[in-house]
Amino acid sequence: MVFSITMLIIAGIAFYFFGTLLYVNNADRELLILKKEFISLSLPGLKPDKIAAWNEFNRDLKIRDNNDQLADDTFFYHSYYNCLSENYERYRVLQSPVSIDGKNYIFSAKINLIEDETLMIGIVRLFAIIGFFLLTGLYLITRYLSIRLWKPFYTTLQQIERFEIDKVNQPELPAVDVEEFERLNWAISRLMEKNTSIYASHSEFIENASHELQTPLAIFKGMLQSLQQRNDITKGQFELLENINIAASRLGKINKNLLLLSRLESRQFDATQGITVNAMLERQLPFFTEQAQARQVDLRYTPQGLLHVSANAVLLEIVINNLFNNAIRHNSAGGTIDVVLKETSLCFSNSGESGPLDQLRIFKRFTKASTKSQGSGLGLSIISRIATLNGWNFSYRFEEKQHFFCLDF
Amino acid sequence: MKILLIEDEHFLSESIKDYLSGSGILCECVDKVGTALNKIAVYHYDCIVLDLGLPDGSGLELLLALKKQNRNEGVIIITANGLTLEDKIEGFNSGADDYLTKPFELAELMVRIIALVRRKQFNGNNIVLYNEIAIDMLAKTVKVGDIFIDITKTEIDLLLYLVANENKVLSKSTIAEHISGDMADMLDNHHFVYAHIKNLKKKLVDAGYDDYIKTLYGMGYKWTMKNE
Repeated sequence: MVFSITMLIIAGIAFYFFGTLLYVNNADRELLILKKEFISLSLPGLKPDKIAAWNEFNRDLKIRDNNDQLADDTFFYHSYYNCLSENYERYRVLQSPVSIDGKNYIFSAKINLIEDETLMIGIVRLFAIIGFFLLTGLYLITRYLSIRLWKPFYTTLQQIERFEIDKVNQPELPAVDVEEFERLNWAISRLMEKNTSIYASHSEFIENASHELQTPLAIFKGMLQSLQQRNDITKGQFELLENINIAASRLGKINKNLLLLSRLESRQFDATQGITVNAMLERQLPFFTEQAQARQVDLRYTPQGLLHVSANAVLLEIVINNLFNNAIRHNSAGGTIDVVLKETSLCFSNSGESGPLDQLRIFKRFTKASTKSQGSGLGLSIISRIATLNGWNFSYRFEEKQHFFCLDF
Repeated sequence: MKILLIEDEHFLSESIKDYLSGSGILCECVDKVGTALNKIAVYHYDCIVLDLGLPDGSGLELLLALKKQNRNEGVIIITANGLTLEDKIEGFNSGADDYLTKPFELAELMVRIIALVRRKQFNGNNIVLYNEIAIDMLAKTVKVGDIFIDITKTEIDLLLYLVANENKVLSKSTIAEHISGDMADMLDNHHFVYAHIKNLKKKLVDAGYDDYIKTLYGMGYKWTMKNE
C-alpha cells in the first residue's frame, strides 16, 4: 500500500516535469511556426512606416527596433499584465532579428502558458482520483484473494488453538486442495496424534506404577504392624517401627493421590449429580473443627447463600477435604480459618506463617511451602485439576496477611 | 471365630493371619479363586476377606457364587485398586459388605471384621459386648452396666476400635488414621487423638468401671483387662 502511494507520487511529479517540458517544446515550435509565417507571408509586404499599424492589430506579435543587437532566435519566459483577466500571466516569448528594408528589427512572438499552479492542481487531482480507485480496487481484490487463499490456514489455526492434550477427542483437520496446506495439516495431525498418545501412555504409566506399588506397600505395612505387636519389642524399637509406619502411610497417601490425579486425567469421574455444597461442607465441618481446635486454630463458617453444583460427588468431597486440610496444615497456633460460602463461590481464607505464596508454583505438583508439613504436595494441584475439569475457577490471593483460596463455580 | 482370607500375596496373608490369630481368630488362607470356591463349598465361615485381583480370576466370581448359594457370610473386599465410585457400586451390588484399599492398617481390618460379624450374626442387634460395656453400633449408644453414658460419635468409633483390637498396641498415628479415614491427608493430629482418649477414659471411669485403656508411654494405647 505504502509502495503504491509512493509510486503514484513519484509518477505524478515525473508526469508534471515531463508534461511541462513537452508543453514548452510545443509552444516553442508554435512560435517558430509563427515566425516562419511572418517571414514568408507578412514580411515581404511590410514597410517600416506600417510597423506601428501592424503592431496595433497584432496582440501577440510585435516588431520593434533592434536596440539590443540581437543576433539569434531567443526563447524566454516573461509575465505580462493581462488587462482582461487583471492578472499577470506567464508567456513564452520568441525574439528573433528580422530586417525590413535593410533596417534591423526584432520580431517578437508570445504564447500564453497555462500557469504552473493550475497545471499542478490538475495533475494532483487526476492522480488523486486514479490513486483512490486504484488503491480501493487493489485493497478489495487482495483482501478477497487472501481470505480465500488463507481460509484453510485459519481453520487449521483455530483447531490448533482449541487443541488440549488431555482431551480424548482430537480436532479434525479438513482436507484442502492447496498442497502446502495439505502438508501442514498432515504434519500437525501427526504431531497431535503423537503427543496425545505419549501423554496417554504417560498417564497410564503413572496409574499402573502407583497401582502396582499398593500391594508391596500393603505387605510392608502388614509385616511392620505384626512386628509391632510382638511381646519382645522394646519401647525404643517400637518407636523406630512407628516412624517407619508413618513414613509408609505417607508413601501410601502420595501414591493414592497420584493415582487419583492420573485418573482425573483419563476422565474416569464423568458421572455427575446435583449436589448442595452447603450440606456436604457441613457434614465434614465437625471433624475439621475438631482438627483445627487441636491446633488452636479458630475455624469459622459463614454460609451466605445456598450453593448448588452439578459435579461428581467423590471429587467434590475431595476438593472440600483438601481445602480444609490445606487451611489447617499451613496455619499457626492462634490462627484463624474463615470459610465463606456464597451462591456462586466458596472461599477459604487462613492465616499462616508465610508471606504471599508464588501464584504460579503453588498449584503445581509437589510444591511445598514449608518442609515441616506432612502433606503429599498434591492437595492443591488436585483441587486445581478438578476445578479445570469442571470449568470452575480456582484462584489464590494474599490480602491482609490472609491466604485466600477461592473456587468460583 | 473363623475367617477365610483369599489373597495371593503370601507375605500379606501371613501378616494378616499373624495379627488376627493374636486375638483368637482362626484364619484360613488361600491364594486362588478355585481353592476358595472349594473351601466355601465345604466349610462355613464367619467372615470372608477377599482380594479382587487373583491369578486365576476376579474375586467378583466368588462373590457371585456366594450370592447364588444364599450364603450369609460377610465379605470384606481388599483391593490395590483405589476404588472409584463405579468400583464400589459394582462391589456392593455383587454382595460385598465392606471394602478396604491397600495399603491398610491391620487394626483397621480387625475392627471391620468384628463389626461385620456382629452385624451379620445378630440380625438387627448390633451390640458389641465387652464385660460390662455394651456398644450399640446402630443406635450409637454405649451402656456401661445399666447406665447409658453420654458419648460422642467419634468416641464410640474409638471405643469400638480399641475393643476390637484388644491386647494390641495401637500407636497414635494408627488411631488417628482410623478416626479421620480418607478425610485427613496425614494431618499431624496426635493432640487430637490424645484428647479423645482422655475423654473416653474419663467417661468410662466416671461410670464406675475398670480402666481398660492402658497408656504405653511413647508407644500408644492398649485395651486390655490385664494389669501389667
